[in-house]
Amino acid sequence: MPSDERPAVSGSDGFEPTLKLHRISWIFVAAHHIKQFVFALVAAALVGSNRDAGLWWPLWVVVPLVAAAVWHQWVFRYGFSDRGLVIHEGLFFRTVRTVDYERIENVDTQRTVLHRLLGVAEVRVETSSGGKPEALIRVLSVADVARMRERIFERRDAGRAATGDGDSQAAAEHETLLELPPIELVRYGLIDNRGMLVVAAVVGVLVQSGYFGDMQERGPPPWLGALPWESLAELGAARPVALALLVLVALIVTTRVLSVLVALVTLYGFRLTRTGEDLHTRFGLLTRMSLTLRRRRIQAAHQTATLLHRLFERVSLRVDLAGGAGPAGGQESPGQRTHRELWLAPLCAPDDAARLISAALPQVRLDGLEWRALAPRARRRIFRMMTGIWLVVAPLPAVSVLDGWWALAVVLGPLPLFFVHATLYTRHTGWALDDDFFALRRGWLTRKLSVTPRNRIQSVRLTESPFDRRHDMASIEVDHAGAAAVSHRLVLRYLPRDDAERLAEALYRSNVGDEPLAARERFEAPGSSSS
Amino acid sequence: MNGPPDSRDERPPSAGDDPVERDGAVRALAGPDGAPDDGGRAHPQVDDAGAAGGRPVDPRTVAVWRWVALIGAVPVAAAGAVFTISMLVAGGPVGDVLWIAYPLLLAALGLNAWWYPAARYRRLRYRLDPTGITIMDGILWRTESSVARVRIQHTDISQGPLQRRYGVATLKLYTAGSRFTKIELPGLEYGDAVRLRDRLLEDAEGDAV
Repeated sequence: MPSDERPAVSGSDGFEPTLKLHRISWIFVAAHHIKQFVFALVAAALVGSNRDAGLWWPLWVVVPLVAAAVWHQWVFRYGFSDRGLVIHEGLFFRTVRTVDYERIENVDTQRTVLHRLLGVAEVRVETSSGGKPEALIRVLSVADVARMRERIFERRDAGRAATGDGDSQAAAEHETLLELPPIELVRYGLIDNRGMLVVAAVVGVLVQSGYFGDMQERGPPPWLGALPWESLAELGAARPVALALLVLVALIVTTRVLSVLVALVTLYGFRLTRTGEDLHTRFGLLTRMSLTLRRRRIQAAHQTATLLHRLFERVSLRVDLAGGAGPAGGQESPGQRTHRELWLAPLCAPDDAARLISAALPQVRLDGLEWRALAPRARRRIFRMMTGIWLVVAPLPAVSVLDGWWALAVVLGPLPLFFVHATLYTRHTGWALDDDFFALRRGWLTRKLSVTPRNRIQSVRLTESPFDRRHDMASIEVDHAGAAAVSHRLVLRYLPRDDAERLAEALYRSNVGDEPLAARERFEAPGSSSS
Repeated sequence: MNGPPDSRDERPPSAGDDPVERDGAVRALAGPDGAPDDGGRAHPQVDDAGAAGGRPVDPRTVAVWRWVALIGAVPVAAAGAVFTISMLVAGGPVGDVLWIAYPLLLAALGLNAWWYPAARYRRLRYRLDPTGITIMDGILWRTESSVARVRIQHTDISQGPLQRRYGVATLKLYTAGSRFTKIELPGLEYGDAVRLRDRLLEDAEGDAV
């Protein structure tokens, strides 16, 4: 790279960055690019049965990628100018990027086993602009990362203190809010059913590779013969049932054990700390994650309690961050998607939940809230709706398969369940409006509680379906930035229409006068931070 | 099947014969300013006059929607016709069903092209107030979307070829939200769209400083 080739778009101060990537960066860059092709390569290797061509052609993909990675490492420069972090990169088209110190929200790192063996880290410099990280630096040595953090945060806080945006005085405070010992992770694994995904993936791979197809030719594998089939034979007519139960139990045990293992590996040593205005989470046995949840970027907090959660007397807490987790980052690799699960606490006692939510959203006080119910006729409507759908769908299959009283039992049997569901659902669903925040809870089997500060609400939508109109009801949906999961949409159905209209009005009005300056600043488009 | 819509003569559907009006109160409020006349095109203003019912958009948008629906209906109708004829030629029970089903399809397409745009126009209202804007839309599933000015990230005014022909435009408001990142108000007269956008943006600036 000729050094006299100074790009025309260089910063106005003519600053030229000099710091380089770690010297083995190319391995990680190449590995990242190869990962994009890995499915195609594996598929080709599996499908391409003619060995003469099939074995060598992946090199045509791999070699250029490695060359590109080496070139990337050679060209990449970063440095700290007076204004911000400056990055030079580009293969053919040189790009120069300046990320103002004051706009930098996080410097997050991600380290897999390989990173840790080699003492390096992948760095993401995040701003509040949304979508993917403003800069991704792959990779730096741990010492360089520490130096980068130090320089960035030192200048950022100096800059903010100068402009009167003072959150630097609190920077010294440091406290640990939550630590999860291994026993908690075991609980988490038992509650979470991520083991199911592992089983599904294994089955998928086996099916793909033709393992089951071969089994028909080979006969059952030998270990199946070692099982005590004779004792099963004594069961006689009940044998199929017993066999099915056995398989079910085995499946449940396997998935739960796998879940526990997954939890122990991914969330090992989970720790939530607070430093001044920032919350930090650290976790992971193999891939060590270190995330910063800046308080002013937190848009909402969600508490989930499934049946199993309640059995263990625990809840899970998640937050939505502006920018970091929006649907804009959809085209990311699976490794980054786990990064998107923004845990405040994968598991904590219900008593701790309110404290942790308040730590994330200081304006939220969950105790002493005045919860409002759904429409009085909501229960009847839910029951009727479920019954109606069931009575349309069920009778024909029931009559065609079963006969007489059995069919009747199948058709009418679930109706009490519907009634119980409607009763419990309406009892456990409701909303509360405080001066500063909006809270809603829904569901009885899986209970979800969501809180969002009113000054984080982007828009409000009131919807009336034809059924709503018949029952004089309406539903409300509140939209905020960074909502990651569809299951955590802030939707409330079966409200009395008057309530819904007043609530929508109140939520809509609450934006005004409520620190609009800060609100605008929070979502300011990148590059317009000159004030 | 309806012929081509008599779009040139801007036949404004009157609000009085609205079969799907919500209730008496809203009807009473929507009545006076609900019937749009061509001369006094609604100029967006921050006032309370049309606050409860909101302002209607330009009636010429009905013609645009009708043309769009008609153009969309042609390939569907053609494909249906080819399928029906081929089935009738082949004979059998399917042809007998299609003999009934095809006219129904045509009727549905006609309804979609003729009735739906007018009905949607009658429902589509917007209301500008000091906080922001509220847009009411939808016939069966009715929505009321409210965005505060300070939440508007940027705006677009777009005009398709048909919209240009009829002088209407769509105002798009973008927020930093997750689900309703784009909120659209179609069918505004172009000048109104520009004025509405300017009002939304200039006042937001005033609030922010």
